[in-house]
Amino acid sequence: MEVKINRLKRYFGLTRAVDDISFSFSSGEIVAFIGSNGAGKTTTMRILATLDEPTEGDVELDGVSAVNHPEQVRKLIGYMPDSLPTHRDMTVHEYLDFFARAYSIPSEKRAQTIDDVQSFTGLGDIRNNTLHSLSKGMKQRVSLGRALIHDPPVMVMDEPAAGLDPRARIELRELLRILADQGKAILISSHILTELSEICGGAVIIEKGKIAVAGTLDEILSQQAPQTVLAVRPAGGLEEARQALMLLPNVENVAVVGNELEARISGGEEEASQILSELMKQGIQIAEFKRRGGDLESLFMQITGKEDEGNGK
Amino acid sequence: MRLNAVLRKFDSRMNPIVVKELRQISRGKFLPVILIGFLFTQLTVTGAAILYNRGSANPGLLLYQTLFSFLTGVCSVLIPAYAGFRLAQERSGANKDLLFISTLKPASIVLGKALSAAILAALIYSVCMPFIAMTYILRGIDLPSAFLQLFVSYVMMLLIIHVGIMIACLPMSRGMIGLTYIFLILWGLVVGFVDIWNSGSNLLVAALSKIDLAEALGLVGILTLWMGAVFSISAALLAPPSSNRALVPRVYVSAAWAVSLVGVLVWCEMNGSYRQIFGWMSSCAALFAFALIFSVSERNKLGARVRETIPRSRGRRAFAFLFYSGSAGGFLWASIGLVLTIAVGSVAVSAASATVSSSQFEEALSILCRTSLYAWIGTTGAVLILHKFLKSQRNDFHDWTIALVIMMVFAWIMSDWPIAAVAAVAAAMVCLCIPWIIRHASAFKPLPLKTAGT
Repeated sequence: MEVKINRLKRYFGLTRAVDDISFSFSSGEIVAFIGSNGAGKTTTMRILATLDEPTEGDVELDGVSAVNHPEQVRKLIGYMPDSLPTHRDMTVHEYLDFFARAYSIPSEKRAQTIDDVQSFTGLGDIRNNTLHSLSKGMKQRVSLGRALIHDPPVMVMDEPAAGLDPRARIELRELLRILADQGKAILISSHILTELSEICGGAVIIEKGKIAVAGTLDEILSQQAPQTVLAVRPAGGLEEARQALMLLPNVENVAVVGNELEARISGGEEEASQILSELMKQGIQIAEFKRRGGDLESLFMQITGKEDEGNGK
Repeated sequence: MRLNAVLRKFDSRMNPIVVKELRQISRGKFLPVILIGFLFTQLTVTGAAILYNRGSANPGLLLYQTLFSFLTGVCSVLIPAYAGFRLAQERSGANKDLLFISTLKPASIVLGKALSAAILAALIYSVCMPFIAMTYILRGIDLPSAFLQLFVSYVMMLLIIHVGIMIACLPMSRGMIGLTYIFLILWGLVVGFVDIWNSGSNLLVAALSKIDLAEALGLVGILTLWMGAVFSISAALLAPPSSNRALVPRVYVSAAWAVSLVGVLVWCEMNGSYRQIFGWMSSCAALFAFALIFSVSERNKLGARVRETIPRSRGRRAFAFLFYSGSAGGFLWASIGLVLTIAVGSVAVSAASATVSSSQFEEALSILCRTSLYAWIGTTGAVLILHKFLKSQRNDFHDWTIALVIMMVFAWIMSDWPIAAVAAVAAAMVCLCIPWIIRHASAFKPLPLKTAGT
């Protein structure tokens, strides 16, 4: 299953929520959809889930257009919105049963399907609890269960990790890995970038409705991070180490952050190892030396920082 | 085994919304509160009637009228509002997307909501039936008549439930939907109060008490036709904006118009009186006038999804223009409907002039024509303001209110004008809109055929 987003535009009056974006992803891939608040992530995901109509452009799932055939696309997509089910008068089981019926799962298969989803998402023990009484993590699981009930080949998840405790996040990450291994194409948006970089093979960074960068994680990290940040914790004097670092080639800036030095250098791994050996040669004792540049968080900050500078902010 | 298979098949085919709604209703407090409330009120009223009306010749009739009025009055306020409130709640806030993310069709959603409300109404009616039947023992009306009246009032209730659901489908906030309900309830109360004040009794009860089986079936037929119209409009309102939302309501209303015309003509011929044709003309004209005003809010630009289905042959395309979503098409369709309603009705009544007094007919026709002309003036005024002067390309649901305001202002200004003068103003404004209609009709084209390699 290949999902193609072709020149998608969505305008609300004069506001360009989504402005000509194109990317694609396919079965077995988990793609991170990253952007600041109001960047256009939810709008794009809603169009993908056929809940909104683009001003221009289209989304195609193996050639089936979400604009022209939304009914067909709904069968292929499991959408997990950022809002959670909160009904006071509905149990977890009844909620899943309703969606199983809504997706026309025949009665002889329905009970088994609901049981499978409940056991996969760990909802079996709370199947008779009302939705209102559940914790946020459990509501997220119910939402995931609902999105999975018709076994869609594509999952679109809007901020599934928002507000979850560390344990629930780890569990969600594991569930996503299993889903990707099952061959589902997953588009996931989140503000927790360190977690995304652990499970995603690709990323699309969107800023003010436009794609800033897109590709596999390795590609975009190597292309977009000419600067590397080194965190150096000297065993001896901080000032002495700072002076030594400042004089080395490729070092552009050094800042003191707590008991560490943060050095911005041009280049990558090779330049970093040269700096380390130079420091050792000069007799500076190093307790800790690590490379910080090149992760999703830095890349995101770099891109959104550029945008702000471009706007004179 | 066979029964199990049948039950499983039935279970698979059941509307998911009905299952969900009934589960939620049975878990909520609304049903027990309303059932206990009804039982308590009926016990009190019946007890009081037995105790205080001992000397009356037929205490059952008064008791019957009281219980019947209470049942229809309370049900027609509470159940449509409850059904509408639940739908409005699911269309707003955190739950907004959940109803529309599945493969459920808008018509299934509306049908499910209506069916579950109908079951709720049936439950309440079943609680009241024993009390109403008991009035027969107290020299009320005979049981077949009582059950016939209950049946007709239940069908009326279904229509009101559909109206309640339609209001909840309107693209408005929950607050506005609530205000609309309150306005309609207050309006209903005022009408009911005036009705009782003027006639000394509830006119609905009085009218139903004289109804025979044939009339009841005729009335049920009319109510069912209206229900279909309201249902198709609700489903269209829930349909995605990218779809051809206008198609089903317009086809349905056109077909219902023709069927009801034949029905009313047969009815008039059988009864030897053409008075009923006025009722048909007024209700059809009101529906088309509403559609005319609402056409201002329809979309001006068709998306790829709809354009793909536009017929390629010119003749079929011209016909399809009337039935596809779009302001100009909607304006033409409603205008044709209005003109045909007045023309056909007038011809039918003139043909049977012996049974209808000419002054009565002229007065009714004049009111209908004036209302229709004001609707044209309002709609064309809104079109001219939005598209000619403001050059607006926008589509806003609330644009129809501009047409309504213009219509009301002109109706107030022109109330003393001769009808010919009103017609001249309406004709002039329609003429000014002709370029707009032509522009939209020429833009009504299918997508170009994809050639190989493109």
